[in-house]
Amino acid sequence: MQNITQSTNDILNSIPQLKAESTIVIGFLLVIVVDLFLKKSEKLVFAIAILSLLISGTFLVLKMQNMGESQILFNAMFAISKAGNLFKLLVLLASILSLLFFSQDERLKNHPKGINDFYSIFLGGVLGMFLLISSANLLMVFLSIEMISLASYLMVNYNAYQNKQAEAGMKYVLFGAVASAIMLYGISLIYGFTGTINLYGNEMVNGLNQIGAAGTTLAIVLFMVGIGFKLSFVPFHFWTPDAYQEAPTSVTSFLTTAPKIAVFGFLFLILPTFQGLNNSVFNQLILMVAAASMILGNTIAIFQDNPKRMMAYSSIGHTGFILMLFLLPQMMILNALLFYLAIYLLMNVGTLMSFAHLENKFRATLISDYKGLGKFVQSISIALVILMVSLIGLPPTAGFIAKFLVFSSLINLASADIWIAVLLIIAAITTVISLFYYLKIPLYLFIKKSEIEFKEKPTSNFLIVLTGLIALAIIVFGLFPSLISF
Amino acid sequence: MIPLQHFLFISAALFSLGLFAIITRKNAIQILMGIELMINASILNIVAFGKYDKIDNTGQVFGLFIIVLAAAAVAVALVIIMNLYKRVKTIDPNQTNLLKG
Repeated sequence: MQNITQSTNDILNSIPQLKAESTIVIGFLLVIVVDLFLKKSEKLVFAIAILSLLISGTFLVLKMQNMGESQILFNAMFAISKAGNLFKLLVLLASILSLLFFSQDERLKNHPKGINDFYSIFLGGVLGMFLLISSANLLMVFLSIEMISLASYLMVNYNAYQNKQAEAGMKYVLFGAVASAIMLYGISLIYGFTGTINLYGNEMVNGLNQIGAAGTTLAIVLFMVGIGFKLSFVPFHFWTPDAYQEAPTSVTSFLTTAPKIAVFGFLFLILPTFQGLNNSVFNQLILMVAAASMILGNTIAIFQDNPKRMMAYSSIGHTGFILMLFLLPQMMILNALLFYLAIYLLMNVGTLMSFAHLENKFRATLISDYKGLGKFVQSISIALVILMVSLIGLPPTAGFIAKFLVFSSLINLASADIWIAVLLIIAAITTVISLFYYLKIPLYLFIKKSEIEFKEKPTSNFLIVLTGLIALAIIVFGLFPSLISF
Repeated sequence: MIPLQHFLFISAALFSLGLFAIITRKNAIQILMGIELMINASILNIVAFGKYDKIDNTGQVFGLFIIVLAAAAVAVALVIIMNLYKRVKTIDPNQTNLLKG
């Protein structure tokens, strides 16, 4: 057992390793203080928030350049590794894009108390994601998942003054609380079975292997409930469409990207623990959940008329697609996973930005309202077409490369295992099904004619520029995928 | 000394009661109570296991953290339920059914 001097030294040596996280903490505190003491401080608070994210990103990049092996800090509470830092950078990219989007969101800005409180909640959520990716310990996992959850409940409910919005918020918070309570019970069982809460190292794997199949299955299934809630894969997806539809569009774009990247990163980092078990429950779980998510997400999306609800189901489908990768061993999936997540993040943020622009300018909140809008807002419509093609996964866009990487890394496994072959066939079929709903948007924008006159409202062009840049990036990465190499 | 099994039976019973409350109750506050029961079941589990841990106090410290966190989560949930009540004048999740599909 360690003595006090050793643990104090460990803590003191660990603190300088946490520059990226500390920057976000400082940004969070500054946002609160500035909001309290200065009036009319929206611009300043926005600048503080974006600066703290950028500085933290710089620290991450610097850290990555001189980092060899992964390190365990704070008496095995915290682990930093190169892969973890890459996931953190992706979370940061999603957060920065979302932050730019928040500042354009009318619903958030119309809150009687302004948008400043929202920024502090947002930074708290980003900090939670960083801690989740780095957590080496079941206590840290639970704390950071709760941190993300509390931030997202509040963000979905920000300025929820219509009945539907308040209802979606309540459903989200109740479902989330139930999921985290079930996950906590799973954590308590894992702790009881193994006598340790350290995720890395052999102790947990050995303990779980000794306990027998029934115990391991129960503990892992309960643990995965909490993960499943955050990833919104199929048995735990009920909150997703409601929350995504009724949240402010910018919050939807944040929730579909950043927390998912963080949870995927965490799942990636602890994958050796799960795959080291004699019991193959984790793989069976992933297999079933991935198949169910792809089928359900992609089929129900066809019947949606609300674009945000459609994107919610599409994100369930994409989650299932990404989950397929977790059947492979850890070192084989990093590139495909990061590429898919990066492209998915760009596609989702871009799509939701263009929906927000159409909503701001024409009050078009349904897909059927998009009839004939194509010739009025050509730039954003063309960008939308590119994004939709990429979401389907057709060349020459980056979505194709992402899907291709996933398929090609799984294809060797498929010849050995019939169930994985079935899973790949399901993935291919659901990709075809997804054509029907993604192409509905270009169909309404360009081909269907509208009878009514459009009332344009003056809006800023900021979202158009961002969407255009994202669409350009999608095409460029589709033609030259080697530009993103990790 | 009370054997470990007793704690585990109590906590399993509490967990099941909480889950039952969540499924059957027609009031958001009562659902929150069910969630609290489930969280308390886990805390009881963790603290009981912690007694047998070779490194002292992991379970107890874990329990303390969860108590604080559960309080924070309930505070957020109550605010959100209040907001719904102010708009819709009901907190029955079965009656608030504007969102479907």
